[in-house]
Amino acid sequence: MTKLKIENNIRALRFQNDEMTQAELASQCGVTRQTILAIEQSKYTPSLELAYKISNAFSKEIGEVFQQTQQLS
Amino acid sequence: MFESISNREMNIWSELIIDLIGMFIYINFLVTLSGNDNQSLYDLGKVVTKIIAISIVLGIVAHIVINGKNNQEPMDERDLLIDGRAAKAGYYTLIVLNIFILWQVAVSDRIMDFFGRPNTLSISNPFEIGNAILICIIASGLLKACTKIVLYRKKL
Repeated sequence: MTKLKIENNIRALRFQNDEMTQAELASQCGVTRQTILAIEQSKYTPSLELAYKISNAFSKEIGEVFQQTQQLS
Repeated sequence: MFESISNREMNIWSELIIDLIGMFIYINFLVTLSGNDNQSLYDLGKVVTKIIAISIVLGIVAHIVINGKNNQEPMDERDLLIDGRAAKAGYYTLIVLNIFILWQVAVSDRIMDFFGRPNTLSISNPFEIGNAILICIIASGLLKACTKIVLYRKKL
């Protein structure tokens, strides 16, 4: 099964939004700080619901936060 | 490295250490066996009770040290995913090892007799069966804890 490689610019967006901390973003999205860290490091791909929550925290569209960079075979 | 370790992950490490302590207590018991099967069954029961009691006490102490007076934060989707995968690994280990024990108890002796060879891993009396099941439970618990630790560190 082909797996998509998905990256994000959450870290940059956090700094653009009054230097929001991981803990603050995690609290807004209802997850732990370590989950946000794992997402930023591309070690974990969030569910659609969590991806929307993160995007809404920055008042951005989901495509502006998460990008498909390449398709892995 | 430590900024990425949550209290939950530290609790899992403490679970693994407690499981290892239980395993060492059990191995120490096996090494000091006298060979009298009836006495050994009673001693096996005592050592299992000892392991459970020590595990509960150490678990409470570890929880207090790691979390303080706060309750552990609720599991989020990543925690649930890792917990599910680790539980699956532990469950399949338990099933496979128990099937192996059933095979050894019910079938293995007859097959080895058929081929005229001694069964070096015979499990026939209650003491051996009790120990085999206990080893399965310990192995399953260790694998579950190790799986959680690996999944928290690597890419999901």
